[in-house]
Amino acid sequence: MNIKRLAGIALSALLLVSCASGTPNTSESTAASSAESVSAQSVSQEGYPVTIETFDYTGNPVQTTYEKAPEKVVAVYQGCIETMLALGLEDHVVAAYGLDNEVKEEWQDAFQAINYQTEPFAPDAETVTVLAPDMIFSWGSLFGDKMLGDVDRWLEQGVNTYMVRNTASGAGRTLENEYQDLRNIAAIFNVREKGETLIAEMQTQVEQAQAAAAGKEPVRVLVVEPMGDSIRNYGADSLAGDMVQKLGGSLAIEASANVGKEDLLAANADVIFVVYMAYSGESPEQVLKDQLDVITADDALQTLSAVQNERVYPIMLGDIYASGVRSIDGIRALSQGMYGEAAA
Amino acid sequence: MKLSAEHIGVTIGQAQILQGVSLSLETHELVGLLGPNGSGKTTMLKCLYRTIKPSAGEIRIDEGLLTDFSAKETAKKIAVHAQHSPIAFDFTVYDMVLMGRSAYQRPLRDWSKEDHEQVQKALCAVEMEKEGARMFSTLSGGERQRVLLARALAQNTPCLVLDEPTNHLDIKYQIQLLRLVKQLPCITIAALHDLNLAAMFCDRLYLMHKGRVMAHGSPEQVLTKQNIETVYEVPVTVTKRPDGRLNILYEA
Amino acid sequence: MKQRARARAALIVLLAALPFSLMAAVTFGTMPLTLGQVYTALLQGPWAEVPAQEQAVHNVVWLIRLPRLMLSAGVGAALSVCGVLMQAVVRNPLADPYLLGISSGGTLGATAAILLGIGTWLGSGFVGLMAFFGSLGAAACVLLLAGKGLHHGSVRLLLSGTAVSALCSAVSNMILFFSHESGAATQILHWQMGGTGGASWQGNAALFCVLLPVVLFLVTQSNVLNVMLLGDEAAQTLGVDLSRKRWVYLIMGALLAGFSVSQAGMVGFVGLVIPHVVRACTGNDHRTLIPLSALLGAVFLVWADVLCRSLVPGVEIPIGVLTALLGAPFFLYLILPKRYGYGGEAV
Repeated sequence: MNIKRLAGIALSALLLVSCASGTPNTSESTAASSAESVSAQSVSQEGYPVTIETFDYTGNPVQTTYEKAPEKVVAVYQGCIETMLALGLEDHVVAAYGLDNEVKEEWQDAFQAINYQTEPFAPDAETVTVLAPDMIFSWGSLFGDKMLGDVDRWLEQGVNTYMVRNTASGAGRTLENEYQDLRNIAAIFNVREKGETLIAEMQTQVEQAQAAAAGKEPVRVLVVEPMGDSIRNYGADSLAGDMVQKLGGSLAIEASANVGKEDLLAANADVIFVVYMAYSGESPEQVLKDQLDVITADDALQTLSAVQNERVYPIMLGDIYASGVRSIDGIRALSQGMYGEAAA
Repeated sequence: MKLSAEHIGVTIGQAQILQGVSLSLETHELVGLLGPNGSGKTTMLKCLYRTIKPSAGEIRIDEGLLTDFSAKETAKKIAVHAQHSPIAFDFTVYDMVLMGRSAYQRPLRDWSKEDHEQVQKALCAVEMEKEGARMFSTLSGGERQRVLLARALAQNTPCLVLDEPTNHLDIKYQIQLLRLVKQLPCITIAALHDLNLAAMFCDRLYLMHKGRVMAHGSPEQVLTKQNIETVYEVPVTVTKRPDGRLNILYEA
Repeated sequence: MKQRARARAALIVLLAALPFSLMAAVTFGTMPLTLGQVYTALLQGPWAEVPAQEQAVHNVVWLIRLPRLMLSAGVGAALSVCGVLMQAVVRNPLADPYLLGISSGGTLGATAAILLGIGTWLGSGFVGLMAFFGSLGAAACVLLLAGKGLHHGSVRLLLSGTAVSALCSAVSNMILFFSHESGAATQILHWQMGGTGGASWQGNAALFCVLLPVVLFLVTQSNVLNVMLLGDEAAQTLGVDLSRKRWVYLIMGALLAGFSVSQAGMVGFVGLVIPHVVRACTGNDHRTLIPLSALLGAVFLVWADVLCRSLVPGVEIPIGVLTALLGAPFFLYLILPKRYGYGGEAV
């Protein structure tokens, strides 16, 4: 066990190094060969075994080893399903659950090939066992006691798990985590070039924003989510907060906490992003308008410079929270709000 | 002033608690209601002060039916000194007695001068006038009984109902309380346990047995050896002292 | 009279303390405003035309700080008076404003509003309104269940309250369980922890329209409430018929708690602790107990709200959490040593 673990760590370290060296600049050169390698993947065992670091429910790192690309993946929640689709892995999915929103247009065709179940919203341990998957790809919360149970239980049964890093307890909430997820999943299925392409796309976007920010006072940004009577601030320890900082902005309130209207006035950010989330049965336009109104239609908040300069923008929860391949949309929406069309 | 009950019957479920009980009380009398536990004394008193509705018979104050009076009007005619049920909330002695004036309080008005005078008078009558600021819970059993009596007195009624007022009192206070009650210018009916005290203070007695009145009249007429032995089921010797007072002695 | 003199002194102190507290509390906040700025804005009045550069200060004072301070004061007073009332009606010192299932009814209303979108047609304050309907609905159920048995003591009322509470909690948990919204549990939890951040003048107007008449009416009823503590039988012999009055008081209590819940969510312990603090100082006479509880509750919650906003800069601690944090130890301090007999002198 210990030896296996050590070997795993060594392998993953190697892998990390190789991934890091294979980032942006070299991606173009390898892109051409990517199609080839994907089609070859099912026959050749090249690139395996792969050892990937993931987490258990409490947030301890766990090493998992893949001898070949998983064939029967249970993918639960939006980001996980879309990641599979974006990497062209729909054939590897045995069942999928838990979409909050429609799958994005560009992946709709691939989505049709997937066995997506609307009920239950998230599967229980029994359902998953019956599906006999070789991998579970989901959020941290799914591995709670009352859901599937912790990852070691599945690993013992020979089912690999992969927990989205931005939903794992010990991993922090960063854009880097989203890159790392893409890298890891791409490695597991040996479609590394595809992963790198997606990451490069995001990185390019970030660099454009940084260029727009260069030499200027950082834009002061708030990302808030009105929840009934209270307003939730996405601080430095949230993905949205990390994105804002990576894009060259600064957070007008650093703490992730409930804030009052007066806190908003005191912070007086240049730009305010209002998080909205339309669940099934709700009209997205109405939800968006209601959420924006909390800031823009409140008499008390009319003196906010973001309100006066009409720099209050909506942003979808799914684009900035464990966003997976949608992170690009979050980055785009944030840069656009912070620096205008030019940067997006 | 006259208080009379005619053929009162009380049935609770299957049990016949009272059957054809008739009482008649006239001005300035102290009437004793005797009988062993379960003979219906307290139930009869509760009919008088209206916390139990008799299933038969009627009670009249002067010529008016008791049931025609409102709670407020009743409280101006009949005051009650019953066993105090323990409460979680405490009051000062003064406030406790002041509640005796509830029936006189008019809506949206504070207590009147008259109310305070009556409270003071009642406290003096039970010799508790210096204890007004004390908390009720800090009083001894005897003091509590006296305060509750003061509350009934503050109601300033022509009729007073006492349910075992001498319970928990030592003999000094039992006599003191009964002496006080006897001086009151109103009709008083008291449920009593002590036959000697009843004989000593009461003008008339009603002796209850199994929900009926077994005997009534002067102490001499009621407290005969035969009556007592039937009702209480203990052998007694009843003697008359030279000064004319009855003496009841329980035999072993 | 010792108690009476103390009550009079307390009344004067609290009558002065309330406006003072409001005026002092209005200077606290995240915006660094000077005393001069705050009071200039106050003196300008709510409808003043102010130069654009002063508009922010004026808004902070008139649209943010004052509404929530008034809301805190109103909720503090309403819950304290409601606590006094409930304790009298069930003759139990442990009764609190949420006795009639109002908290779980309110939670159910809020949950239905937040998760199922029921009541969206009621407009922007629909969560509060749904909570209001939920709490009054629960209270009505409890009262109907307790029904005519009310005069046989409070046991039936307490049992009905427990049953209705359990049912409401079960239904809201059910809704929560079947919801797919990721933030749903958090949102309901926040609602339950109470907060005055959503204060508005309209909401305050509604609260005070109920609060002031009810408190005034109850002061006129103080003797009835006193007698009520002695029990039904004693009350009747004293000429006080409680059968109908008890219903009136319960309905008033439900209104007070319902309006508080709808405006500020659940604010625990105030309705239990404040009445007992007043009882311990000036006794159980409702003539002083009601106004003093109202004033002390108002002052207490105003300062609790200030603490909520200023304890951790830039972060709002839910007021219900703070009141319980402050209230529970104080309550224990009050009752654990035998120095307190629910309004009695030290023995």
